[in-house]
Amino acid sequence: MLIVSHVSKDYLSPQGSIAILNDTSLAVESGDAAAITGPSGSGKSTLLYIAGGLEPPTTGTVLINNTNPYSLTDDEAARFRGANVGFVFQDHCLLPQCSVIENVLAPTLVDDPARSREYVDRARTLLVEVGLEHRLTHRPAQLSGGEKQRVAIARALIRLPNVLLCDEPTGNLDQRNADMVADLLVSLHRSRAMALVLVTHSESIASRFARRYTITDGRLAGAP
Amino acid sequence: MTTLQYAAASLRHYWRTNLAAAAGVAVAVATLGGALLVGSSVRASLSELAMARLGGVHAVVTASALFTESLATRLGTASSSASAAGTTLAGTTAADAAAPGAVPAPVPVLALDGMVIHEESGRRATGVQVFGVDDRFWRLHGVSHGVTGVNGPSGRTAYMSPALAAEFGAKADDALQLRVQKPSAIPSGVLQGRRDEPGRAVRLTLGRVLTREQAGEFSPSPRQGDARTIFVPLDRLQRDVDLPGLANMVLVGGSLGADATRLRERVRRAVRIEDVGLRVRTVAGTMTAIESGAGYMTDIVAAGVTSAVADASGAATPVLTYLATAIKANGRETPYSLISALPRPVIERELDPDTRTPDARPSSASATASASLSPMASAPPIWLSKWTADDLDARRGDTVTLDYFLWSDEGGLSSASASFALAGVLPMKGLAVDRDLTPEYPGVSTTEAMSDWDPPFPVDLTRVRKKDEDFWREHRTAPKAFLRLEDGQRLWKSRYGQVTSVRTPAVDETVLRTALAAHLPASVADFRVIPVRADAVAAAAGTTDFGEYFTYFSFFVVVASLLLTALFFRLGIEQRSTEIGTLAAFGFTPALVRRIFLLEGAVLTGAGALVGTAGAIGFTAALMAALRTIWIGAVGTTALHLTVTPVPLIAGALGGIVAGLGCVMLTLRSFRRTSVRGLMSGGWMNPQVSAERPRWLLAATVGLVAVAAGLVVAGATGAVPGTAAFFGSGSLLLGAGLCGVALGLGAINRRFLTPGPRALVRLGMRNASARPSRSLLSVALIAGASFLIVAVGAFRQGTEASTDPHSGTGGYSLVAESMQPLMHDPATPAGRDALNLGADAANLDIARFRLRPGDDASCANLYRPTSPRLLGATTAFVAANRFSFSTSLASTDAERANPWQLLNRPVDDPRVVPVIGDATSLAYAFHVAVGDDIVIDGPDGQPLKLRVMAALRDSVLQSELVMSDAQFTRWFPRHEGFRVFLIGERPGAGTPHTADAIATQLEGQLSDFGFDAQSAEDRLASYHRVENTYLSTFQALGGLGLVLGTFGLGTVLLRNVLERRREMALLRATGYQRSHLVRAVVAESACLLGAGLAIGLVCALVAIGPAYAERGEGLPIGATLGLLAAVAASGLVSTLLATRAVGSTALLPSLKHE
Repeated sequence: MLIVSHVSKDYLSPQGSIAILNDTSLAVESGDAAAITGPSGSGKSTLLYIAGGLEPPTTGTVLINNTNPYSLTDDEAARFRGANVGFVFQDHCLLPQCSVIENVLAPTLVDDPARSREYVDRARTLLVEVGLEHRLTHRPAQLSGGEKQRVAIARALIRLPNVLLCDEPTGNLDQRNADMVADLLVSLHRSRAMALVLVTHSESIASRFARRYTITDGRLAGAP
Repeated sequence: MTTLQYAAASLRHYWRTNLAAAAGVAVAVATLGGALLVGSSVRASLSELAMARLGGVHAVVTASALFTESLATRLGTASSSASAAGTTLAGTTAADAAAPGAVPAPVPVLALDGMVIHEESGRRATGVQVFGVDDRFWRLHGVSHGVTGVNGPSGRTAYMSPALAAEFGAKADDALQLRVQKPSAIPSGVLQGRRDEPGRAVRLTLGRVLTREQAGEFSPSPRQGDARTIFVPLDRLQRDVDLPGLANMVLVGGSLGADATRLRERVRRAVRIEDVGLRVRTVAGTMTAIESGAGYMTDIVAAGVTSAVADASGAATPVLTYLATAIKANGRETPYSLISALPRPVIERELDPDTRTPDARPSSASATASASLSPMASAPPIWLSKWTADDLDARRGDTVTLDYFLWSDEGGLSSASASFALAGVLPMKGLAVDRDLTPEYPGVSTTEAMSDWDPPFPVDLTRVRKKDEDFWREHRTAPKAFLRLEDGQRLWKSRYGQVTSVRTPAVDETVLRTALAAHLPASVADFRVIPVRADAVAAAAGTTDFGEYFTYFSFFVVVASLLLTALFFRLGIEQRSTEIGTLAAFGFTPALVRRIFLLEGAVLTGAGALVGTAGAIGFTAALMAALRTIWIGAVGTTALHLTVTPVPLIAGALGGIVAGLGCVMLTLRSFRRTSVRGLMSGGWMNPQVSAERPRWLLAATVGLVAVAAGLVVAGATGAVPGTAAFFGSGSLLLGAGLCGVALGLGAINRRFLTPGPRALVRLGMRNASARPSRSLLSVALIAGASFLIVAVGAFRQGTEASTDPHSGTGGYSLVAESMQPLMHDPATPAGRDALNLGADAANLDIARFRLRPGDDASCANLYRPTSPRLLGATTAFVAANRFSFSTSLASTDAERANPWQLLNRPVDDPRVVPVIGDATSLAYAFHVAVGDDIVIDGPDGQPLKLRVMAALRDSVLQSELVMSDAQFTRWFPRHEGFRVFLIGERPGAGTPHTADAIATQLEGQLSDFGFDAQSAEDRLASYHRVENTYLSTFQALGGLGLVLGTFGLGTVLLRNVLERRREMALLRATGYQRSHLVRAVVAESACLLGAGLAIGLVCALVAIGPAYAERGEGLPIGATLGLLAAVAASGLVSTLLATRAVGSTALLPSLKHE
């Protein structure tokens, strides 16, 4: 499970310290899904990256499966993220030189080679689940925006993460593709016992999740 | 905002990228301009050096023989008398000769080769230029060159050049011994010539050391090495070498010297018959004789004199007088007698009326004589003087035999005999007592008694009787026998002529001189006007165009910097692709967008060119400093300095600007097919890597490999010259390798990426394939540079002592040169005795060459050889078939087996001489190929074509061209004897000696000849050192280019990393450690660097196959691998810089696309 406790984040600027997050806490159990909405610059993405172990908070703690990733060394933190956290970004961040299935397998390249076959099989399964079984060897440049994001989702799930963090996964998509991706995320979450946190500015996307939070001026508000 | 303001704002905003692009242009301009500036600086330095050493001299008048010192005066000043003796060959008086205009005092000089011994240190220097000069020499330099405060030298004082003084550590008042060749008017190649005349020793005291500015380095021919010069008083030198009043060089300055045509006309008008070695004597008050100081008159002179005499008096009598060692008849002999050959009527006019009657002998004896006459019926006639006939008791019809010596340079001294039938007896008057029929021979004609004779051939004085001495006392050189002219010439003619004098009834000398002038052009004495200053300027253009060479040497620096420029421009423009798309969306036409970027490009390239031009000067200064120090082996002088001239700098700047703007244009063109939306979204950055293998690429790869293989086979079977075949093959394989890399980059994309130990390596390689053009560019640059560096390294020459007759030393261990020609053959016992060589010399194999001194044609001489050093090879050397040939015109089996025989191949054109030269000299000094002609001034002033028949491969004979002995003696008869020697030990001839030991022994035994021997291996090594220095220069600058190439590789990597920072951030987010990403980047770099180095190395190894097969361990494998390792290291440094970017990539901003 994911526990974010009393997290604050300040950035230094020429004009002085700017508080992005202010004593914010969040807890998401395995199997739970939460959506966070808020206006641009409210700190929702920052909260997500702090929760995922990508950016250390100024104060406060983060626990993923009872481990504080910021207490680990860089390498340990990287290994920990790879094993426990999946990310989906607004910009899919696919590797252009790799095929669809290779993109899905990318996080596994630094894992135990003995599990290679397992990962390949799982990647194929995931791509079937996201509806791209016919695009395995295609390059990202040959995919539509929605398809790219579905590849990114499959990639995020390849190592069976405990926590899936999605940063505006539909932000670059048209409504139809956005709905498709949102439905896919909900569907995949249901079939897996993982914690899901999704950041979006779209109320309609957020409405698909049972727990919804709003972040304003660095403070989280909404259903606990 | 105007377009200009927009461009200015962009230049400011993107200053970092722009700075890099401008720096690339600056490096290209600095390199290109610098390379060109090196060329002009070397030319200027050489020209200045030659000018400084010429001082005030513009032209030099020389002749093949000595001439009177007064010729200089006649060239420059009016004579007060116009006596008959003052009539010049042109039929004018000396006063006339000076008429065309005032001349700034031409200066007579006696210039000789010499050896100087510094008595304090015992050091000796050979090959020293000795100039006999007087005050006029310094006045000439003073007038034209600002030399002041130098007079003399006088007495036994000598002046010296700084380099020679430094060599000795000499100072004023030090004692010196100068040994010089004693020139002789009489050729050594005739019987009467002095062959064992040692050089003359002159004791001197060093007066002062003269600087270059004081004309202390005076040299009429350009050479860039140290000037080893000594100046001695002209009259002292003339006295010591027994040449009073004679000189062999006139230095001319001022406007007369600068106008060669006018000077030639002046020489033609000023030369007297004494200057061409002729003298006129009145003989017995009734005859006039014209004689040559050389003994023999050359055929052209004899013909001219005969015609002149015929004009003046109507009757010319050519005479040939020779010395017989014995006249034999009736069992008696008269020793050592002079024999004159004359036209028969002239002899018969003198006959005693009594002897005209046939059968003067008593009848009883007549029968015997008739019987004995029978076999002699066809014998040529001989006439004896009464004294001789009495001495031999000879009667008409008796057989008279003449014994005499003959001299040939090849065979040495030999005895011969000829028999004649006595046709008559001359009374002891007229011809029979005419001692003037014999020209003046030193050692013979001037002695009071025969017992005082000191001729240059053996004389057995015990054979000389009292009656012979009595005859000598009374009649001296009067002939004792007479032959028909044609008979005498058949026996005793030489390459120097066949007439010793021409006689005529007494004629007015003025009339005769006028007639002689009309029939004897000045060219008969080979008078030549050499415009040394103009020649020096031309020669300073050099055998080596350093501008061209350094442009080649800097090729990779220029290419690498231009590629970097292109890369930075491209990166800068790619960085602004969104901006381009936005401008297009705003309605900017492509032409307007292009104009904006071109404007920015022009500003950047202009700024880069400006900085680069300053850099070019610095680069050139550095290169010139390197040429004076670490690369001095290539130039052999420290006199090179930077000379800034605008043309090379402008050329370099323009080259850089054009290349830079070309890069901008090409980059903008590459965006033409990208849509505005694509530009704005950056979609162009996502590579559309095709997984398909382009068929043309595959075909090109296979085709190139096939042709390369064909070339290898052709080279191995000899169908194509090995080096060309293998080098061509290596180049083709390089192309194939690059095509293969292009294919490989595609193939990488087809390999499935799965977890595993090599997953990161494969990811890195996949990254390399993401931008195939960039990657291919990096690989091509590294492969190309590696290929050339390794291949060029293989051309480095090593030198090992070799007794192989087909090696570069010809199997000889020593190369030697003597100041004084050796006339005797050390290969014969008699020759060794004459030369006082020890018995050990019998074990030596000595090849002799005639020498016409001239310009060094080796790579050690930076000046263009206009009058090359020429050797004449003996038939024995030609037959020995030493050395090996790279190419030849051989067309018969015999010529192919021994290409030296091509020297004897008949040539239709009589003014074409077959020669053989070293391949390096032919290519780089003369710029000719086998079959081409090298045109030089012949001894008669007319062009002489030296046709290159064959090229020697890497030989010690790099400084000269070799022709046959026959051709040499035909064209250069005055360069007598043998002065160049190749010496080795005969196989199996006792215990071998070291080259040094042999050299020391020979130098000691032949010290009188100024014999100087050098190890052949050292000589060859010195040539190799020059070539290797050039290769080092090329490799060093190529290495610099390679470093820039690896810097380019680093830039490509860095750019790739920066472009992929979001991908990397994502990978880190999904569990990749920094080390994983670094490994991927290193793998990418290693992939490109390794591919480049491997392709370059493998192709180079194919290219140097023949060299490796030939020299094996002699190849500088270690140094080359070291260089490649350095390249690999610099590539890895570039990679590490790129990986630092990986480490410093901020995760969150990257992911947020900020």
